[in-house]
Amino acid sequence: MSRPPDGLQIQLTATAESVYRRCSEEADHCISKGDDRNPKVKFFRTLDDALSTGIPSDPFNQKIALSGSLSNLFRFSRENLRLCYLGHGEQRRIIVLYICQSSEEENESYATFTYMVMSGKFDAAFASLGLRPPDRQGLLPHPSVN
Amino acid sequence: MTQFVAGSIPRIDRSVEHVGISRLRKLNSDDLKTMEKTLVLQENDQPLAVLLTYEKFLVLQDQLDSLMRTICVLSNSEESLALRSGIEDVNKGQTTDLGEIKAALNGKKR
Repeated sequence: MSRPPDGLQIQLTATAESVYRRCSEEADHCISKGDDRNPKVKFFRTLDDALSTGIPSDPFNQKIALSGSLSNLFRFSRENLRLCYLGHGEQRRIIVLYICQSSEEENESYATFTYMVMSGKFDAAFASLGLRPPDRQGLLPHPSVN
Repeated sequence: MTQFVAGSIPRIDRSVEHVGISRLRKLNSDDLKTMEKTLVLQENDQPLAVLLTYEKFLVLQDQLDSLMRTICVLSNSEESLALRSGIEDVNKGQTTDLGEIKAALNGKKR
């Protein structure tokens, strides 16, 4: 079991491991062909840097924690990397749950939430609070919301 | 502040106080530093503004950001599926140390 100098143990779930291995192999393949500038190389370097320095520098930062019953989950994002891990502060251990590559810019969450409200998903909740649903004029589709 | 919860009696939030605008004029920097309550400033029973400490605002801001992050994860189909899959892996004990994965990948390269 390896631990970085700061004593943080990093584990990957099978889900995250398969993505990590694939990204590593794709990056190596590009490098072996002399294609160092390939986005796959850049993505893997971002991922590797996140796991070796970015996350270990402040793994339990509440500013990247999720809320409520998911508050022991942390979502790290850098460039097009999205990574979520389970944190055990006392054990100095994190388990990376998944690794995703996003084509979207970060900080889309407010736009996503606005879209969800405008889509009518929360109309029943508004009604139960005695509130009127928002004016839906000018609603634009948001492709990332399901 | 009174919150009406369906089927229950109204609850009074002790940390919120409704005050007139004149109260704002009386506040000095020490009052603002030590203010424990959130003030709803009103005129003629009409709420006009909310006054709370800077630290409380930051806490609210962090809570909102955290909620937005959670919504972002749960509303993205790829991330929410990956999250469920990752949690199932943890429950099954299917986790591997990053060092072992790196060592295996380096071994393959040789």
